[in-house]
Amino acid sequence: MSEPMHDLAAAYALHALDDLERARFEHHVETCPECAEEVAQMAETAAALAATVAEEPPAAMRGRVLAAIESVPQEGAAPAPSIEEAPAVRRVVTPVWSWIAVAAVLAVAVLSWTALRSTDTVEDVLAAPDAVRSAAVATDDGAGRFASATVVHSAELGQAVLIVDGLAAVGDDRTYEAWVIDATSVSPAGLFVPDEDGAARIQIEGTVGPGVIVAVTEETAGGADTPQGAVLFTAEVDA
Amino acid sequence: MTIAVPLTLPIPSLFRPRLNRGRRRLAWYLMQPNDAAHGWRAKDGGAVLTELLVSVAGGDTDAFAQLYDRMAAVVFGVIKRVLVDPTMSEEVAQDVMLEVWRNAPRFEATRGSASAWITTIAHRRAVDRVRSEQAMRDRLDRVSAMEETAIDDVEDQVMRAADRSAMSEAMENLNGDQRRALELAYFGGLTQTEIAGTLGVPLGTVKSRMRQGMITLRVALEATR
Repeated sequence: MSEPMHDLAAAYALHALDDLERARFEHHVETCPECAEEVAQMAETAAALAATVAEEPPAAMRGRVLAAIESVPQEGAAPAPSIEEAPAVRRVVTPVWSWIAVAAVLAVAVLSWTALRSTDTVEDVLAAPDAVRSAAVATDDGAGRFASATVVHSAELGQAVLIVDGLAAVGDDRTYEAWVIDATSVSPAGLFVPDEDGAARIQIEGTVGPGVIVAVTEETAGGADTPQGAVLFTAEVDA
Repeated sequence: MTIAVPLTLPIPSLFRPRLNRGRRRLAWYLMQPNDAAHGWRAKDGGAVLTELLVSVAGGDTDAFAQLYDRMAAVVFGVIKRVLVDPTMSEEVAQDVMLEVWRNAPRFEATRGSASAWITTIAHRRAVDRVRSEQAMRDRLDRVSAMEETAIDDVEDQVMRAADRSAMSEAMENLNGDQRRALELAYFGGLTQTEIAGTLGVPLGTVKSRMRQGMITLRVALEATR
């Protein structure tokens, strides 16, 4: 990993990470019980900090909220995503730390509500009310590279975006290529080169839906029709 | 981003013995099993809040009314501290309370307290709102304004709450640099990178100040329960 993640729990709980840092840390937390534990404790501390600035809201708010809940349905328990086996790539099911997932879902919801004016497809997907984020799982390619990546999918827009961070630079004659993998096919989904910080955001070409796997390989410049390089990481699109 | 803001960050020498004690205590604290670290969660009103939220998850509107009465001030207070504007704060606080109702079935008591769950939602939405608002306006203006008023404000808050809140006292006793970083992050809605730019210190320093500040607060909080 390009930097220690363990020192980000406080910043995460304080909401002092930007979107990319947050996605990266959430990816890390899924496989780091120590960090998950630390985030939980930091959240308790942050709540105590919030309590020091408690202030009664206007009295009228109470009546409005209590009236509103009568017509607001509650979420059911999160359904288990139905996933079909994809033969080409090992399917990776990441344990979802639901507490963070709720925060992430809310963050996406808020993002969607504040960024409606964007015309960029990438931004539209990130801001979509129904956007679902799926963290990628990295594969050790033997070169010591470690990337974190998130796929954000909007069923309503029929589009998905891949957000990558911490990816090593490639030479001029090389490129990264994204792939969309479903039960029956492996399709090229776009070429990209990360910026100097190893970050990239690309619109995924092709049809993406729940259960589909987005993978990334390194290829020769110009890309390939079928993956030639090793899979660096995969993300399974959540329902 | 670099923001030129004059800052005075005194670290009174009288804090140093206190900090050293804190570090030793911290070392002890971090070695404790989770149960010991979590012991205080179940005390105070935490258990009541959790029971209420679990009832809310089952569609109990009376429980929600009680939950509202216990948490609305914290929700509104922290949102207003970040957003400043009372009207916008009320709007966001209202949305947050509805979000609590809607998502209550997703709350898992084993993951943390009900108050942390609710406060996290409130703060997250306030921060998202302030970041988007600031993208439309001039965000830097707000940061500069906060630099001028934050210390007085916080001291005022601390004075009012001093006898009632161990947390306020812990905040007051915090190393000035750490308190500053926490204020800019939690009450200012800045990212760690922006804080580094504002304070003119390396990012690693900001991370370290926030983390150590939070852990110091946690230990202080634990000590009083």
